[in-house]
Amino acid sequence: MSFLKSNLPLILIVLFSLFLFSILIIYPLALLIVLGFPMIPKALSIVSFIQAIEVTVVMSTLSAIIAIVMGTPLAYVMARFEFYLKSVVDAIVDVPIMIPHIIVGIMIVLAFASYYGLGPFLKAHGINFINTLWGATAAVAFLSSTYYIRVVETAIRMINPEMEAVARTLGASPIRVFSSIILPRIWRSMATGAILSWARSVSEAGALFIVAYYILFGKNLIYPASVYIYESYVGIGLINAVEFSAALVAVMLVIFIVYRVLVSMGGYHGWYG
Amino acid sequence: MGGMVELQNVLVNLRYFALGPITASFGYRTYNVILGPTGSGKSTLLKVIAGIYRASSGKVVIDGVDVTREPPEHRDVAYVPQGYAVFDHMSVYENIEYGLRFRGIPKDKRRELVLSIARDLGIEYLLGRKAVNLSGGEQQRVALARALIIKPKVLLLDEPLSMLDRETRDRIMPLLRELPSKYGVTVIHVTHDWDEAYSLADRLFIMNNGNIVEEGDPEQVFSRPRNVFTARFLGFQNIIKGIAEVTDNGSIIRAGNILFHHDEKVSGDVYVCIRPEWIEILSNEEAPSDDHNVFRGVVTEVIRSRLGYQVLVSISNDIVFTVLSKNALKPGEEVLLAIPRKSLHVIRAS
Repeated sequence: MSFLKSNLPLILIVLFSLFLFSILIIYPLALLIVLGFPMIPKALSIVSFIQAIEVTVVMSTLSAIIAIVMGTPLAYVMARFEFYLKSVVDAIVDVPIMIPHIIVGIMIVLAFASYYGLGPFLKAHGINFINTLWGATAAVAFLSSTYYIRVVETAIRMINPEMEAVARTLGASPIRVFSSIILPRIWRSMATGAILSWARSVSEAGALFIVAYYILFGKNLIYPASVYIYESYVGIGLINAVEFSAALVAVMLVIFIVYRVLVSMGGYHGWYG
Repeated sequence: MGGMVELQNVLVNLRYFALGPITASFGYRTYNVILGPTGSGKSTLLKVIAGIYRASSGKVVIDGVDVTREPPEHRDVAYVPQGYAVFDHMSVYENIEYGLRFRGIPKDKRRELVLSIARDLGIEYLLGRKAVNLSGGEQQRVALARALIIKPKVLLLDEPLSMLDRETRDRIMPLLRELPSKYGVTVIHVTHDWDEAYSLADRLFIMNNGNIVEEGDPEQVFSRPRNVFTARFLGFQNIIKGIAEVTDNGSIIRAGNILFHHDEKVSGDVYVCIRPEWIEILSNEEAPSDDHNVFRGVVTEVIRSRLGYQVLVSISNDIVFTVLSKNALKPGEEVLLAIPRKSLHVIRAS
């Protein structure tokens, strides 16, 4: 009894938190799954929706690759070095997740498809950012790379720098140190960061409204999945949107699970060398 | 003749710390210990020799070659950091083999070398294991094997014994001591533990505030340090400031209202440095001999220690001696202290 009495405030706080969690997160998710689940096969039989998922997956995968290429060295530098204006760079890394996504769309158009900056140069070389995979990928990469950089940076910080120092004195060049000491210890985090960043890209709608409401993919104009669902909601109605939403969530979950299984199968030695 | 490692006016500026200028020489195949309190810059100095930190000015010369601008992988040094930094994503075998992989040595030969060094250090049984959950002593041997296998000219050890229990330390000490002769390597070992330094060093360097403040042979540094910092750091718990005057047979040092007789001729401002173990406690009946400084005092505090009792004895208002006693004295007890004139160590105040 006294245990209950002394811990009562804590128990009440936890119960209240659980209540909020249930009502805000579990309840909407459960309802979408319960109502939408039976309709998934129907949604996945619609060609235009399959195409939407296809273009979204391609765009998000490209964006995750950009995050890896751009983010890994940056994360290393941020984790390991102190330099002038580091706090400014640190703040800039967080900017994409702090500003409204519509503004990100505006910035991408301004930067790559206007009369300013690189716009005229790109246009002269026939590279168009409006309603193309270029523009869509640039917008979602801008928004999602922060997640990758932060996850990998944290992983690198966890590695004892003395290991790198020892490896150097034993004869390893900086590249060999990276491949034999750092990479085997961070590749799981890289994978986690990449999938987070990928999922963030799949979910994006705001910036795409501006840059790529539909994407020229092959010879077709295809809506990205989130825009497709938005269109079905405003054009047809709620139940139609629920159908596609449940299907998109299911596809993402399957990809997540497959990815997790693949990552858990790889050992340290997968990268050792 | 120059040493294996020569530091010439080495200056290092790190963000929150400046080291040097340091000039020092570490002889061929010798065991050198750098002793200093935490934060004195000893680990930084080791990293400058390893090439992990760059010297802002001055020169680092290893075996006659100026390596100041060389990266760590071209310096022929091996480094064992505090905590050993064993690569725990590899097996013990892969750890030890690591440095050989950059030297174009064929696999068979590498295997032979790994087995041989592992046998030498008594860790053959660990080779097949993943390098996790090793005991402190095992990690230390793996790190040593990994460092020695590349036959470095210089072996840098950062607090190699601080993470080990007493028994393991006692077993590892002889192994460390024989490194220079057995592996032909110059060892530079950094520590804050003076027992360790005294047992291992051929040559001792004392560091404080980013500088080497004293160097010498361990016997000399421990019994006749040249400066007050070293004396205090090395366990001279009684350091008393006084004014010396030369007399016929030595000198007299006046400190407050007490007098010390000293065999050497010194004058001016000095510090009288006395180790607690040099002071004898006489019973009241014992007659002190002439070659002793004798003081009467009152016990103020008694602390039990491994070597007996550490007793604080108040001589006058502002002078308290720390003395080691075999007997448990009681506070308030009156005692007679005798300090041999010849053991008194006097440092001139600069």
